[in-house]
Amino acid sequence: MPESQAPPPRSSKRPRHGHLPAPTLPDDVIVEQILTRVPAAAVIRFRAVCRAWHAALTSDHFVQAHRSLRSGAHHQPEIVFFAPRPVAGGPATTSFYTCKLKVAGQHDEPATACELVTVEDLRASNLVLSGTRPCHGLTLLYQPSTSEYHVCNLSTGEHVALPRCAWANRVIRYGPYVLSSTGIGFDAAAGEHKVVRLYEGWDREQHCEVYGLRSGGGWWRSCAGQVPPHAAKGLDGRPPVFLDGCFYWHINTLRNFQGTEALRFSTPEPILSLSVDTEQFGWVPPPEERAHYSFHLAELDGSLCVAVDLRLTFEEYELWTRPTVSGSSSGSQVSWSLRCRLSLASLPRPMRDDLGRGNRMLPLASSFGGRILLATNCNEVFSYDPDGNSVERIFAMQEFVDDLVTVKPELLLNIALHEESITGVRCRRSTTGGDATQLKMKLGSTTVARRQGAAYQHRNDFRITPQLLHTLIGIAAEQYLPH
Amino acid sequence: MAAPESGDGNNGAARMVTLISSDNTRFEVEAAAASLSQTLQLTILDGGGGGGDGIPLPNVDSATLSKVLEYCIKHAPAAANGGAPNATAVDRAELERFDNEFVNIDQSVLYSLIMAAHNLEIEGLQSLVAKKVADMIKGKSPMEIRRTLGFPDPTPEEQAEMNAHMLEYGWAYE
Repeated sequence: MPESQAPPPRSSKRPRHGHLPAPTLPDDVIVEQILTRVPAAAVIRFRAVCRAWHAALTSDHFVQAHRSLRSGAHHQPEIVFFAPRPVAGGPATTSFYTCKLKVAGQHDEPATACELVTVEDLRASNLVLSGTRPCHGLTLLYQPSTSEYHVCNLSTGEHVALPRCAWANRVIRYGPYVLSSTGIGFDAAAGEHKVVRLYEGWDREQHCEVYGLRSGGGWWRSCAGQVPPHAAKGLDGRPPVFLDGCFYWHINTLRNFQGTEALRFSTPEPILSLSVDTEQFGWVPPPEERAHYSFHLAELDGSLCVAVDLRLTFEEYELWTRPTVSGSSSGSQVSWSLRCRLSLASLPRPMRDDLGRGNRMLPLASSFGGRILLATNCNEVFSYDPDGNSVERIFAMQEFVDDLVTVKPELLLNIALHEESITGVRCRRSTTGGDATQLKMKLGSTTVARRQGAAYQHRNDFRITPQLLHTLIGIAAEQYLPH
Repeated sequence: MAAPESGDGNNGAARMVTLISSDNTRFEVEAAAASLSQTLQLTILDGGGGGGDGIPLPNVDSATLSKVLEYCIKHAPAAANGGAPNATAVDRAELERFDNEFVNIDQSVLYSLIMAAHNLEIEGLQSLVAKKVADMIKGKSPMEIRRTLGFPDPTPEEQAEMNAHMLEYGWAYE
């Protein structure tokens, strides 16, 4: 950055056009000052202006500058959420929206949500986002049962279909549950995003495959490390948590291993880790006191988090966190600490019922005045104050999209944190598997206003649907029929 | 100006400094307001700009400088409070209203302002004006951008590259 008072001399190559305002801004001011403030979606278009802009706007330096300006611009958390978009007679279509949340308890203005992108030929049911926040600007989208993966920047719409891969074995015949788990991580040493897929193939072998977004070429390669035996038997389609250079899988022993299987397939610990850089596996002990409870893995402000569901026994949730160890994937010395205990019983109704509904609650982020944002698979976000054990609902998807079209996710959440970013997906279409189906992506143009009163109707959430019936029959069949 | 006195004034009246534009117009302004500029702040801390000498600003003409100072005077009280933890919502709304009006100006004036803010290192003004320009251009197509900024027409080769980009990133152009 030149410190001199004088503006850099103008390039003399540009002829001035007659009646148009003469250009007066030097290139570095245009790029550093103005283009860093253009929305991510426009940056993609501006790469076509000229070669110099293309080089500048795709540089890591610019991506970084754009991100830091955007994240510094507002202190409100932003989320992304998706819902089916009804198109009369058309294909299944899913829209992604972003919305700024108010945490501090002010209800001054009605919030609006902005459509980010809309994807045709994509069913919102059983659609999984790779986690509760993007990984260095990118999100992995997939439906576990179809073994098709897309990496997408939800701010710019840039996307790529990963090469076709082998089908994973199913947990049960129906529903989204498969013996596979796929996540996206960022390998800082290699400077690229890597997609890692751990699964059991139809040959009943355990596989771990890696696809590097820059280096991938057109195929998945085998992971360098040895896959622990039976690792994929504890998976169910949910993505791993990626944090600080490591993937973490919750090996769901309670659900998948029963009776003698529990003995045959036992794993040393319920949390499996994989370093994205060395591609070596390791095991992480869970909080000792809660090792045998049902929990969900999550991330909370850079720490691995375990959300323990104690609703049936104590009407409580607990959040345990474990700081990550820099540069080490083993680190069994690192201890867990109880971050907070959320007592549902002490909350006033209807908050007690609202937060207790659904079968999944995950933390999104914290530190908004000490509050923790909690999202449920009932498509709602709550702001929880651990000091006062008070909870406030700050987002309900039904207030923005038609209640009839919202879907309750079976595997993860239909809500994640959003960070506007211009990170590219880095590989050209032609380099990926030629037969992979590309997403039919459209940039969003609509803004939806919050409709107050549209939500919060008490509904009976438990309905016997054909899908549920199939799932139940499937479970029963698996129980009584040998493989 | 009726701006409230900033904390460092040790006698009754606020300290004044004189700034001289490229066309030799003299502006007398409170040191607190001029200190929003990082470059001027150093000179002022060294005791410059007082009395008869004044600080020459050979890169800023008088029209631009008066606009810059309008911004500085309005924003000086909030800046003096150091991020103003006790600033009321009304104060902030008033500053926001002022900012919106302030940048509602001709494109060429915006360009001069952004250069002045860049050279004088006035962070708030720089981002305010840059944001305005970004908002003005964000909806334009690559060709419109080229015309707005006075770039020459693309060569056939460049045109082919632009078309290829549009084909590959089709969704970004709809």
